[in-house]
Amino acid sequence: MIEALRTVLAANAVTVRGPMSPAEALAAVAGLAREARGVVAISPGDALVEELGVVEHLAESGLDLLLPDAPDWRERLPAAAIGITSACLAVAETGSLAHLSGPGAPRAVSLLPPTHVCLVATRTIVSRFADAIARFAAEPRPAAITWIGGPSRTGDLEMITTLGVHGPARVDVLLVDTNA
Amino acid sequence: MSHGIVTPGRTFAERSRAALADPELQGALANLHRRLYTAGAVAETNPELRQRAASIRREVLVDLDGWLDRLEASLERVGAVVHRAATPADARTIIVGLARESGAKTVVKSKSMASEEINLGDALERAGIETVETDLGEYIVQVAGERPSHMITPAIHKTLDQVAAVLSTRATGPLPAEREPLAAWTHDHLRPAFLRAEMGISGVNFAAADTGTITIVTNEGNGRLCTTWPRIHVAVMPIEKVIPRFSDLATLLPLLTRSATGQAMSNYLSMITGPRRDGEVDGPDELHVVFLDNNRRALVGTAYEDMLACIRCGACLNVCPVYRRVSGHAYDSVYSGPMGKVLTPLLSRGAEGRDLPHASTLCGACTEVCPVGIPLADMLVRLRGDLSAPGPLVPAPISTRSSPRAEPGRRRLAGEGYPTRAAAAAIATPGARRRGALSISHLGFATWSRVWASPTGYRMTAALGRRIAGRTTGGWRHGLVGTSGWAATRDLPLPAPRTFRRRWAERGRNGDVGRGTDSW
Repeated sequence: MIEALRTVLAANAVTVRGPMSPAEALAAVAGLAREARGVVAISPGDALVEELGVVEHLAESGLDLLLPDAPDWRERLPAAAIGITSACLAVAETGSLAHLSGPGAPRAVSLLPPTHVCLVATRTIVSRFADAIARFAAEPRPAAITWIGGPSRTGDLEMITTLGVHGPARVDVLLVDTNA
Repeated sequence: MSHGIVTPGRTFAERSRAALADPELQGALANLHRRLYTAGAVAETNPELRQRAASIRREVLVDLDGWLDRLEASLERVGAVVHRAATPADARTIIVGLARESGAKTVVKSKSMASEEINLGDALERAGIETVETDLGEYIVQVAGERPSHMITPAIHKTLDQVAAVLSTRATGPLPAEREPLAAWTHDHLRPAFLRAEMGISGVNFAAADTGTITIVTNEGNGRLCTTWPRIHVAVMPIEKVIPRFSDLATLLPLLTRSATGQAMSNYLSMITGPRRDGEVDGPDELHVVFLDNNRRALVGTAYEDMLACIRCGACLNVCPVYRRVSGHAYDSVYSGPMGKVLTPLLSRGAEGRDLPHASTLCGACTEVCPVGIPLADMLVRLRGDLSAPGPLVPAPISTRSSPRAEPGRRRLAGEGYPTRAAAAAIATPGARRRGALSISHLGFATWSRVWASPTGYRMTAALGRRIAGRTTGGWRHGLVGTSGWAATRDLPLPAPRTFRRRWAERGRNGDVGRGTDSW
């Protein structure tokens, strides 16, 4: 399933790395955040972001972090250079990365910055889209389930896929093996 | 914002001729080849997906009012506000009212055919509210002062050069006719509108009655922005978008995106269950869902009810030999192509698009490709008949439908539960201006139908026709009065020298019926 997911995501213009250990993932996130040269928006309420301690790790790096509890979060997010989230699950068949909204997990961190880094725990990969829907049908749903397949794209210019319209033009997925 | 009609002409035939004579349009339409086989591939590789989707959509129609009641209850349970609009005017009044009450100065819109159907953009602009289309294709046609020509790819009628020229009118200088720079310019140019808008307006692809979840499918991310950043989100939902269960999305979403663009899944899906909740820092404070009827409920129980199964994938446009030559503006309707030819006269009760059902070769490509099995070609034939009578189109109920899944709910009267505000009268009188103009073709067909319904009438007129045809030589076959347009490229068949009826009668007399020795 990992290979299937990697193939679909790559076909959708996503850069996929891993599977890697939690330590390697933290180092990779820090590297991408530094590369972005700007405000680093984080969605600390996403399960894997919290589990890995992404905020704590980056706080030591001296980067300019933006968290949803900042009083000026809404004013600063539009200028952020990069957004860091984790998906609650990934669908190998379609390359869809599901995000649940909630306190500490805003929808716009994966939307407004030009680069989106998404952490995916390999244990959360499901084979089919129907498997994921069955799961969300069975439990209470948050205000928004946002599914992301890759960089923002359009077919409106002569029906040829063109990347980067309203959402991030770049999406990096880091596959994390939490048992490693 | 004004919606000019690009292709001029009063009738479909006139507009088609203009479209065919437009070399730039013909060049742009060549791009449709990219999606010619898209939906057909779904039929080949996922036939069971189509069957499951078709039955889910029919399950809705068995009890449309009941599913809408359940959806309304679910939406209210999760904190959304439901508005019921009987007519486009009612929907406009509701939405402009919401914008005014909230003091909105700017509204951002993601692509929604329903908002085009009710001409919402114009109504908001008239109310002094800046309205920005944010789907790239919609934005191109908005800036050009046109209307969408394709429901998935609104600016398919424009070449890249034309797109660059249109967008350059909003830029500080000429933009290059290159795809990536145009996309990047659009990002930078429209982002401020998203950030300042107080209201976002979207359509709805599917609304699940059990959970009150509305799903919006996009690729660009403008749908996400419209439903995430502004304080108020208004979703315009034609009533047939309701689906029974959240779990039905497992079937309908893959089918929709594969049929529309060939993607295994759309780039972005937003599944929205109510407004923002406690502790969330984004998402709208208010979520309003506007149920739009506009004569849809009147189709339930008629021969046209299958049209309400449509999921707006655009597949029938992509394969239609007529659409592929003339593009969407020739139809002079929000909905174009085969589905538009059926839906336009039905939604307007015959006030609009009366000639559209004739804009077809009846080749059946649309019916074959439709992922939810709507018999479009059959409906076109039926509409030709039903529209031959002057006056409003009021489809008759059929009484044969019964389903074990049907819940014996109370059938409501037309308009019940959908309080009209301004335009109750408009429902009663569309097409009134056409009444009284008894058409010659209608009279002709009515007479023909009556005469040929009787064996004697058939025998006498057929014999007469044979005699006339028999005496004329070759030329008549192209020049018969009233058929010249049709017969220019076709030959009418020559009548047989001896008719079947005569041979049958002779065989019966000779007592050799069934022996099969006679030469035919």
